[in-house]
This record gives sequence, C-alpha cells and structure tokens, in this order.
Amino acid sequence: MKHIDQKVPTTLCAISTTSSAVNKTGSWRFSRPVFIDSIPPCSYECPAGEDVAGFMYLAANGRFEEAWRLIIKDNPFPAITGRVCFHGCEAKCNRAEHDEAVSINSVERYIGDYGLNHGLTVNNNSAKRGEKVAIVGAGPAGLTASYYLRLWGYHVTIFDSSALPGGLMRYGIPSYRLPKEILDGEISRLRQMGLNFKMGTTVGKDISWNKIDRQFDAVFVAIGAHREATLKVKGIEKKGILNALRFLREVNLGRQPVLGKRVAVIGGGNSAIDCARVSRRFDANVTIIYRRREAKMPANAEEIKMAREEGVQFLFQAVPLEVCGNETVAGLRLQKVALKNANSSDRGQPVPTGETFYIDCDTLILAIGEDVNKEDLPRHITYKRNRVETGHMGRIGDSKFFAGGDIIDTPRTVTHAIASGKRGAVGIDRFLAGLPLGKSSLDPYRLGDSENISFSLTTSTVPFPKRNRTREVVNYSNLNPFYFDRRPRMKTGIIPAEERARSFQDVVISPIEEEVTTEARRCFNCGSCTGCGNCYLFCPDLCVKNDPDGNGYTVDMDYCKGCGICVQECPRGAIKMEFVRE
Amino acid sequence: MYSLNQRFDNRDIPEEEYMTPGHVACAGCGAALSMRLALKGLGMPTALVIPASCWTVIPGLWPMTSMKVPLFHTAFEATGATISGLKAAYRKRGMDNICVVGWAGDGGTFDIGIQALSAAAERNEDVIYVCYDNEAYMNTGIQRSGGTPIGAWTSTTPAKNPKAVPKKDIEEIMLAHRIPYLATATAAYPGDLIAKFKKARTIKGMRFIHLLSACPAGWKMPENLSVEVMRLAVLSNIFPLYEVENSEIYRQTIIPEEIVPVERYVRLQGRFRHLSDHDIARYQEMIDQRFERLKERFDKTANA
Ligand SMILES: Cc1cc2nc3c(=O)[nH]c(=O)nc-3n(C[C@H](O)[C@H](O)[C@H](O)COP(=O)(O)OP(=O)(O)OC[C@H]3O[C@@H](n4cnc5c(N)ncnc54)[C@H](O)[C@@H]3O)c2cc1C
Ligand code: SF4
Ligand code: SF4
Ligand code: SF4
Repeated sequence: MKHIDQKVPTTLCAISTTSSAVNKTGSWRFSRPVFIDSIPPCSYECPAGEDVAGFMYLAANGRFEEAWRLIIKDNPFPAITGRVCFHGCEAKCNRAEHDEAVSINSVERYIGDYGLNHGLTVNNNSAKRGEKVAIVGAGPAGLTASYYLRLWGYHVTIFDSSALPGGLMRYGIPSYRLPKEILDGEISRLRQMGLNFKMGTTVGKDISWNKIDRQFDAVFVAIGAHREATLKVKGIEKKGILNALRFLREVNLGRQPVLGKRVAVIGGGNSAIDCARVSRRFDANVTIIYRRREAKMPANAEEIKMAREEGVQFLFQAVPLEVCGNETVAGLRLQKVALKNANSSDRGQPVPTGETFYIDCDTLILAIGEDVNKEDLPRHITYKRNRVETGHMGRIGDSKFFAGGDIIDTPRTVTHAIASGKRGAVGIDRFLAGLPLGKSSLDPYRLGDSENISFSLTTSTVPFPKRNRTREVVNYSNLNPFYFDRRPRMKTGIIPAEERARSFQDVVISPIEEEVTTEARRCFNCGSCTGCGNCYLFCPDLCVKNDPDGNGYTVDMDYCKGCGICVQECPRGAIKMEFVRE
Repeated sequence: MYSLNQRFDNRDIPEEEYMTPGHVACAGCGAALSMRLALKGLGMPTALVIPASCWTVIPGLWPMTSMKVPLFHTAFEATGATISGLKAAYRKRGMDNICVVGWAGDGGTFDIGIQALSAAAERNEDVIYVCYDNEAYMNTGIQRSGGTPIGAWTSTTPAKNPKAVPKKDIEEIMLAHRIPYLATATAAYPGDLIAKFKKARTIKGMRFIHLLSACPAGWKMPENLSVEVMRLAVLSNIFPLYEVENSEIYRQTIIPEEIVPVERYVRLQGRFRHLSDHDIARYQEMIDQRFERLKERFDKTANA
C-alpha cells in the first residue's frame, strides 16, 4: 500500500485507507476451479501405459535421460518399441484433430537410442528378496516380467530354447525393421541387472515342468505361439514350400534361404509382409496372396505400403486350390472368392466363385498364422479359443503359474507382450506377498477403465507433480486449441525403396536431436499442468498464485469468484470447475 | 517447469501486481482484468483518474480500495480536464516522472466525456487516456452508448428495436486530433496489451488506448467466456489490434492466422440473440469494409 497509505493532510476529499483484501469475495462463488491431472488419450491407448505427455515435455526441453527413465518405468525396451510398435497412441492423439498427430513413435525411438548410445543403466537398488521366479520364454513378455521382478529384488532365472534371447523380436522381425545391435543393446541392459539366463534349454524337454514347479516359488510362462498352421490343398507336400516362421528364423540367423526366383506368399498378416519383403531382398519376384480385400489385411498399413514400394505385388480375394508341378513347386492354381457380409466392422466371409486361374511361382511361403503349441505347455493349463486361459494379472487357475504374451488372449504385438509381462510381474509380486489378485487389485495403476497399467502416470511426480489424478481421458474439446498454432508433423526419413530392397539395413533414418525437440514441442501435454501461466495471467481476481511447494499454481479460495476463466483458458485441460456447496 | 509449445510465452509478463483481490467487479469482469494487465505494463509511478463508470465501484467502498496506485475519482464528463490538471500539478511539484492515466468507460469517452477529451488532445497534454469499452452504460443498468455496436440489445434498445446505428469510430475521432500515439488492445492478448502500455509510457504527449473489455452481465454470456469473446473480436476483425504513431504510421500488431466469421463472436452473446442470419451477414459486410480501410493503411506503412 505504499502509494496510498501516506497521510495526506486534506479536507477536500475522502481517501481510502484499507485494502480491499479484507473483502472475501470467495463467498460469491457457486463453483470452484480445481487443478487436475487427467489421462491423455495416447497413454490410455498405449498398451504399456507410457506417460507420453511427460516424456514429450522432457524431450522438448532436451532432458533426454529423464525422458528415458520415465519411459522405462513402463517399458524396458523403448528403442525396440520405437521401431516396431504399431503406435495406436498416434491414432488417438488429440493433435490429430488440430493438424496431424504427434510423431510419438519417432520421439520414443530417439529417446530409446539415446539410452543405448549413452550407456544408461537401470538403477537396481531394491532390497534383495529370497523368492525365486522362473521365466519360461525370453520373448518380450518373458523379458519384461523378468525386468520388473528383478527390479523388485527377486532371483530370476530365464529359460529359453533358443541360443539367444528376444523371441520373435530376434527370430521373427527382420533386421531392416529391428537391427540386431539395437535388440542386443536393449537386452544386455537386462543382463546387467543380474538376470540368470539359461539359454538353449527347452522346458518340457531339457528340464521338466514338474522340476520347474518344485524349484521355483512362481513361474511366468511366455513361450509364444509357434505352431505352424498348414493348408489343406492338393500338392502341399511338394518341395519348395516354406513356413513363414522357419523361413524368417533362417534369415535372421544369417543363413542363406533356399529361395526361387518367383515367390508366392499366402497370408495377410505381418509375417506375410515380412516374408515378402525379405524375399525381395534376395532378388525374388514376390506376390502376396490374400483372401480378403487390402483394407481388411491384419498387417499394419505402413508395412503394406513399404512392401509395395519395394516391389511386392498383391493378389486379393483369391485362395489356393492346388500346388502345381511334379516334385517341386511350379505354379499355383487359385480360385477367386467373393466376400459375404463384408462391411466396415466385419471382415467378411470369403465364398468361392468357381472362377479359377493360374500363377507362376517356384517357391511358396505359408504365412497363415500361428497357434499355441499345447504339447509344449504343462498339462494343468486350460484353453479358451486356443489361447491359455488366465485370470486377472495372467494367473493360471489358482496355481503359482502365470502366463503372458502370444499364448494368452491378447493382441499379438511386442507392446502387448510387454504389457502382459508387466501385469504378470505385478501378479507374481502380489502372489508372493500373499496379497489378493482380484479385479480391483490393479486399480491404483490402471488408467481409467483401461486394462493397461502405467507406473509413470500413477506413481511418478516427474515431470508433472500429478497432485490430483482423475480417471478421465482428456479429449480435444477439453483443450483450448487457440493456444496451439498449426505446425506440420515431422517427416520420418525413409531410405528410398530401390535401396531398401537391396539391404537388411534399418529402413528408417534415425531422426536428429533438433527434429525430435521440435516434434516434442508439438505435443499439447494433454491433461497435466506445464506451468504455462495462463490461469494466473487471466484471473480478473488475482487469485491464481504460485504454489508454495513449487507445483505450478494454486487458487486462493478466499477471493475466487468462480468465473471459470482459468478453466476456459487453460490450453491443456488441467483445471476443471467443480460445483460445490460450501 | 515451463511449457514452450504454446502460442504465448508468458514468461515475459511482469510479475508485480498493483491491485489487491477483494475488489467487487462481477465474476469474469473484463474491465478488472484489463486494469490488472494495464498496470503491469505501465509500472510505477503512475496515478489514475477515473470518472463515473463501473470502475468507480470496482475498487470497493470507501475506506477500501483494491488499488496500489493513487486513484482520483472525478465527474463523468471531466476525465480529460482532470488528467490535464493533475499532470500540471505534478509537474509544478517536480514530479513529472509520474505517469497520469485517465481510465474511462465508453460512456465517459464516446459520449459524456468527449468534450474534455477532445480539448486535452487538442492541447496535446502529456497524459494517457484509456477507454475501457464494454459497449454500454453497464454500471447504471446497460443503457446504450455511442460505443454500443449496431444491432445490440441494451436496456434502452430492446430486442424488438435494437440499436440502429453503428458504433462511433472513436479511433478516427482521436486520430483527427493528430495525437502522437493511439493503440487498440484487449486482455485476450496480454503480451500485446502490456507492450502497448509500456510503449505508451515512453512517449510524450497525448496517448489514447482503446481497450475492448467484455462484460458477461451486459453482453449476456457465461462468465468463463470473457477472454474467449474478446479473442474472437480480434480474430474476426471486429476489433483489430493495432497502433498508430503520429496519426500516420499504422501497424497491425496481431495478425490472425485465420479470420473467423463475425457470427462466431455474435452467437456467443445473448445481446445479439435476436439477430437473423441476414443481419449477421450485413454486419459481416460492415466489419469487412471497415477492416479494408484499415488494411490499406497498414499496407501503406508496411510498404513505405
Ligand atoms: C514376422 C513377424 C513380425 C512381427 N512384427 C511385429 C512388429 O512389427 N511389431 C509388433 O509389435 N509385433 C510384431 N510381431 C509380433 C511379436 O513379435 C510377438 O507378438 C511377440 O514377440 C510375442 O512375444 P512373446 O514373448 O509372447 O513370445 P515370443 O517372442 O514368441 O518368444 C517366445 C520365446 O519362448 C521360447 N520358447 C518357446 N518354447 C519354449 C520352451 N518350451 N522352453 C523354453 N523356451 C521356449 C522361444 O525360443 C522364444 O524365445 C511380429 C511377429 C512376427 C512373426
Ligand atoms: S498431443 Fe501429446 S499428450 Fe496429447 S494426445 Fe497427442 S501425444 Fe498425447
Ligand atoms: S479465473 Fe480466478 S476468479 Fe475465475 S474461477 Fe479462476 S481462480 Fe476463480
Ligand atoms: S493454464 Fe497453464 S499454468 Fe494454468 S493449469 Fe493450465 S497448464 Fe497449468
């Protein structure tokens, strides 16, 4: 009050002497603003539940190590998922309604590579626990479960029949999408955590399930789905017919496959696309034969596009009738099919039209899906639609066995395998602690009504303090889009198709730091306060103040009149009005 | 913690506050917010003169005040004269560094105070005159003023018979006085508003700043939309943000990336509820024509 409290001797006019601060205008209010932390749709959609808004914020500020540490709370393999994840997060990104979705996957890739290039390791300082856990299968599900259980101090032994860990990430996905050095780098970080790998050991053959049962306090089973389906058509026993997984495994082991000049691949999934793209790299003419339409292919659309650019041809709505040739494959006789009941939600039932035709080929690759090999699994396991039946958190019945990855009922992707590994680890941890494993046990880690769990969004206070978490997902209408100008999405550098088709090098060019920080700045950081100051600046009643604890802002309820301008002007939906009777 | 990915970088906004909470402006008042931001731009030492208006009431009943700067209440028609006199008195006492600011509503500027304002401008007094324009006599019960836009409902221009003539072009009136500085501003663009007050303080002579200032009660709209509606006035070219130096050099300080139709502004406010689509189309034409004239001058300066 230094400008008005002077005692000016005057009889001519009345002079105010008191601050209006004595007038508590908060009593006018019908509703009040509360700061909230809601769930961004990207995180809600991410099977691993990563705090995308958080790592984008850190990356935008060049704080890559912190970004990496935030991601690995939920996903031990950011450099892998940054390459092969099908990024459903981007499909739900609020920015897509503004201009174009944030390139979440590319930023994740950069952060993952940053961790590898800087030799970042996991702080593994949890108290050691006495219990021993066996992990059967070193694919993404098994590795993730072992990562968490080790982090929490358990003795973890991993059994895998292959020579090297990684599962289909090593023996399925070709190196032009996931270079082996990236995979090795990510896995060696787990080795450093003190995991005990027993490679070349097939459980059920080299060591019995009973023995595992006896020697360990809990078991996580994630042996993947590797049983090859086969076709019932005339001539299927001929030479020159390959199975997709076996073919890819050979190539991934660095061996030269026996491949003709004209390859036909049957199937519409990612395996089919990869088989075709690999065959192109061995200079073959390749045609993919799929019984439905292109739009209905289960394979990822970006992969289909890349395959086509690399010269792979497609034949839709056709099924094989007969493999021609004497002893070896020499052409295929096919039948055209029509699709019954095909619409936007139904893929449609292929029905034969009777019209047949012939194509020339000397190699046939069957990529028609894989099943769970029940003979490889313990006998007490039950199945539902050919998948291992599990309860909450992957527990099998009420046994000490838990399951995850491709053998259970979950979409068959690396990221879903990671999610199931994490869920299983939480389950095993609770099981060993004698805690209940009910439906609600995971609630503290779940994002709203999603099945996915997130440690970063539910337990981390970096970078956003998350003082008041809600179970609501923020959508575009909760944001104030005015505060975000329009900026184009970063362009991912792709090696030209002709060059790609000649090599097994990574087909995507790694982004540089500047591209990544620029892209990370496109993120709205939906749902959490970034301290932008709008609410403070626009309050007509001077009641939004710096939080004394340094957590952004607070509202002085003594004076807030409840106008709601702060809520309206918050760019990212981090405040809401609450009607209260006070 | 700070976000870099936003249109406004609020870090440059001065932190000092020259008002206290507890003032009695309505919830969501644009005029209270305008004052708060204007003082951030003006800084100290500053003295205010306020005629009859909402702002007579806002600081609170005597002996209370929400102001940390001296404020002198004057008669409705007298702002131009009072600021001239106050400045002269300060000068005489060797306190020429004090920035004297008149702060009047649209009624006190467009209508009742225009004589004193015009005279002060004619004499090129060394003062800042601010008109916070909420487009009617809000404090006395929403009567129409010279600042009320065409088509608007007020208590004296009911919906059956809304205001028939357009708003006075106060900028043109002031520029005819050849004053050194004129600017338009609104609290929806705080950085722009603050920069203009900062700049005005450094200039000598008569400075006029016209603030569009939303009034939820008088404009018949939800309180939380005050800033939004002021922003839409800018984005639709109803209230373009610009400044004019020496009545000659025109500069548009905020150039919207996309012009929004006036309809979006109009349809947010109950005072325009009775307007037909045809009326709004007419209004759009008027706004376009007015902006075209201004644009020619912006372009002339830009190309000079
Ligand atoms: C060609 C191809 C491309 C793909 N591309 C992608 C992609 O781009 N993105 C994506 O997200 N997903 C992709 N997938 C799917 C993804 O790879 C799988 O969903 C994922 O690897 C499943 O993980 P998992 O841990 O359940 O099993 P797996 O990765 O299959 O690992 C199982 C492991 O168990 C071991 N094992 C099996 N039986 C035993 C036993 N009895 N004892 C001990 N060890 C055993 C195996 O050796 C193997 O290492 C692709 C799959 C294929 C086939
Ligand atoms: S803008 Fe950022 S936080 Fe929002 S949905 Fe997209 S990636 Fe997630
Ligand atoms: S802007 Fe200020 S007065 Fe209005 S609701 Fe928010 S804190 Fe309360
Ligand atoms: S307006 Fe800015 S500072 Fe306020 S809550 Fe929203 S993000 Fe945080």
